[in-house]
Amino acid sequence: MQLKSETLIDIKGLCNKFGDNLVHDNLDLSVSSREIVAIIGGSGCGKTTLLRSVLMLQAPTSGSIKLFGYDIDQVTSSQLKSIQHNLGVMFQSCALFSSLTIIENIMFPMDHLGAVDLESKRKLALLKLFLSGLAPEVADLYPSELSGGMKKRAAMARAIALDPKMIFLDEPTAGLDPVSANELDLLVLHLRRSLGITFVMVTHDLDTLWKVPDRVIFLGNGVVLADGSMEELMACSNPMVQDYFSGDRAQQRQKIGHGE
Amino acid sequence: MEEALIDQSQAMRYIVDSNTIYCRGDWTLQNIKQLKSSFKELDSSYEKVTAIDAVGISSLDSAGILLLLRMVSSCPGVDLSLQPLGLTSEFQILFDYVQQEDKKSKLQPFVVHKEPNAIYRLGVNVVTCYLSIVSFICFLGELFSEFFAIAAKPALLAWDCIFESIDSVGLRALPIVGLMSFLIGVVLAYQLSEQLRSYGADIFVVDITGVAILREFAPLITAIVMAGRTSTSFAALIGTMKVNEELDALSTMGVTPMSQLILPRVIAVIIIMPLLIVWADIFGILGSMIMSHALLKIPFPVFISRLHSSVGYMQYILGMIKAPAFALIIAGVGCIQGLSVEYSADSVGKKTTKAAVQAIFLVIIIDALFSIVFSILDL
Repeated sequence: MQLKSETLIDIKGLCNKFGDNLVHDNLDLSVSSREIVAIIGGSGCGKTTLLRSVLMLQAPTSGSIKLFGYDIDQVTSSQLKSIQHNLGVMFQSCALFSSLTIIENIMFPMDHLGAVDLESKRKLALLKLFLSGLAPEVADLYPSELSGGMKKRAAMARAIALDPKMIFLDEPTAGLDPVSANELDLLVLHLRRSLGITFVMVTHDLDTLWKVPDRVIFLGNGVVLADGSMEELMACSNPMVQDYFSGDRAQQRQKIGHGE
Repeated sequence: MEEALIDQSQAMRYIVDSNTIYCRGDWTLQNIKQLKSSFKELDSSYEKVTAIDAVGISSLDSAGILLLLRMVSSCPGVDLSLQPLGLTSEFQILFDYVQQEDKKSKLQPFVVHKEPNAIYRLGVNVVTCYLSIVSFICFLGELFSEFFAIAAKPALLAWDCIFESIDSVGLRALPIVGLMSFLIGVVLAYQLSEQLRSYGADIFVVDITGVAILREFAPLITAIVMAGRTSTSFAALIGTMKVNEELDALSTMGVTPMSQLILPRVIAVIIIMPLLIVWADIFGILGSMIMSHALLKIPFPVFISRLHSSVGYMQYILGMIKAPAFALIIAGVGCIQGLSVEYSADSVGKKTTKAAVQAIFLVIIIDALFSIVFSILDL
């Protein structure tokens, strides 16, 4: 697909309303190519809704969302297809198809491109498996036979199946042990470097936040309250941002972070 | 992009003078089939390649790189360390990375699963069948021991679950059970009246439809509707809970799924089954009565008094005796299938189907057994 701009996501005046509950109130946000952006904020601040809106799973109440320079309200169906081929998603609970083996899961998105023979698909799927750091023995197992960390990697392998330009991660390190979480962080950085993928992640993992993203966006009251590096966010004077980082865990992490 | 698509047929060109393959266009997964076919054409036309010129490649993804790598390794007389020249820096990084990762995959051949033969499958089926019988017996044992344990402390029983099940399994099934038995009554009386009229034995329509409905049709139709409605819903509910680890959560709280989920449902079905059969009896007889009146001109009071005098209560009781057995099968099969779900969505679907099939099959088998026993006892 031809990129219309280097700004992969461009959100202007997004509003989302559920009943009387205004989740997003004129929210503006943009993500450039090859960036790693983390979206944070307290519970119920609309992180997931934002992700769902961008992924076209949920139509926003008002506002415009541009992906790869195309307004998603006005795309033709073929443009929509190619936009979707350039988006990978790793859901919080992985959402691997439980009735398919890992390799079939990875090959699944390729099936829908048509005209790809089985041999190429298998070979390519195996490559994606390696890229996400899984052993080939895993290929013919079912998702239920994998550990949490391996499932995340398998979900990542499926997300990069079509060489997307951008990947969304919903709580990538949730429920992982520190070692696996660290490996996943490194994987994200590695994939950005080698495949040039842009990442947008929703996370609460402070270790990840310090290590991975170039930019952290803090959502609150339906708008972007703060936008910058972690250091900038820590120095932010907004009381909600202050609150978020003033918990014991955040304080401890900060000490370690500065000590490094 | 448009231009690249048109040029796709010339994605690879071999120039003899320079022993070079020139690559151009979109080397992406979308185009992989065309790329492969042009690669095959190329295959026969050259002898020695000393260079691959990749300057013309406008877009490249990992599928394209795999093909490039294959090209390098399969060219005759080629130096394996040959690298495509002129990739943009972005593509070069990607290429190096994929090449490095791809080397690992060569060491690991794929395991292809063999389709098991007929004898193996037969063995698996026999063992599965045996195990399912064993598990049903175990289930009944566990159910009864749980029942007696809880009978001592009735307060522990999940009463709300029983009432809820009675509502969803019983009350909401009334329309369909009523309608089906009414129609069966109508059809039965209609078919019989044609035959009986020719013998002048009109009034016997009451005897025959009465016995058939009270003794066989009402219990069987009710059981089949329940097997389709209730067994499947139990299997799907318990199966989904298992996939969701809710059953494990219950167990860790010291509450067995048996006492909290299964026993109340079995009790509810045992309570509701005879009531539904009575309901089916009423509508079946009503259907037959209306049809007899319409076709044979038998007045309603005559029909009812004839029902009293020649069919009697025994037939009704024989029909009702089957109710607890049917109830146990319907609730039991649904719950067992739900419990045997493995951790996948696919499995929930399979076990739900199996619940319906097994429940209907067993209901009919048990019904046949009852008929045999009744005939031995001369009832």
